[in-house]
Amino acid sequence: MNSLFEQLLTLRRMEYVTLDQHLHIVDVSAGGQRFADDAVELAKGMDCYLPFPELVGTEADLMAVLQGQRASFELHAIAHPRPNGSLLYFDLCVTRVTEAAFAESALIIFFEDVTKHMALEHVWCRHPMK
Amino acid sequence: MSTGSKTTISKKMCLIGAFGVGKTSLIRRFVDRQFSDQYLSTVGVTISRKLVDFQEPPTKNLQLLSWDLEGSTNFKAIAPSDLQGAQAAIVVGDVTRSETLERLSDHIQSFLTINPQGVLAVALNKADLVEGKTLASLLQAVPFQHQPRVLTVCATSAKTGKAVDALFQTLAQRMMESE
Repeated sequence: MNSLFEQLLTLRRMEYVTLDQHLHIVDVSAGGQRFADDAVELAKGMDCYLPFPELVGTEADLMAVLQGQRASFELHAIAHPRPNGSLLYFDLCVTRVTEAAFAESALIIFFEDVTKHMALEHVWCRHPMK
Repeated sequence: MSTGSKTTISKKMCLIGAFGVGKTSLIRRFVDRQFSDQYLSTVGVTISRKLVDFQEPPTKNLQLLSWDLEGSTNFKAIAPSDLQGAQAAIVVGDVTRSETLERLSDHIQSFLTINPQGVLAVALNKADLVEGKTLASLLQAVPFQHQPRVLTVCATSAKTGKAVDALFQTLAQRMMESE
């Protein structure tokens, strides 16, 4: 993996998971596990729907990205409960892999931690400006 | 995924409605059998899983993924991508706030625009807060009884549990039938 690419993702608190054309996991970045369902340990060859339930129902969208009919598919402000009871919020973006570095992969899912932003939004919702 | 001799299939459904109508409470009642009077507005999207039991066990189990969507306001609409791929939705209104009932039709339309084959249930929630007579007239006034994609319209209470299981079960049953 290109180290500059990894650095850039780290700076943005982003992680990734790559999938093959059957939507099975091929590769996971170092911190990718924290965006998965708590009960599921990410492993190569695993069906993507098990650790990422938010992808259930998006089959047609993922296929459209895979086949180049659309550039990307995004979901925003998904909340996962953490073991300490707080919530991890993240945005995800699925796009097609075009880099040779990901030879076996067809799709890449980027995860961005937006917990701080959502915490502010939560405060604003509870105490809106008058 | 396989549990015992049965295959488990996962299906997505959404809860839609204005802020504060009790979407989160309905899910908590159904999934965790709990209710809290403390109101914490939902921000973003929370997904809850529940394995649904059927009276007559089919050959497959259903894992229901309920998407608890942030309540809509005049300034913030529901993101279409959140509704995408859902096979069912519960559209929720609050019987003590008429403006939330007036928006039910818009929510149904938003869902069916994205998922024309989807099915819906309408929940007139917080039924424990109004008298039976008022509730009956509200149920009669709701104009969705003959909408073919709306399977049921019922008065619910996340607080007492009234009609909550039946609501989810009706949609779950239909989702299994379409499998």
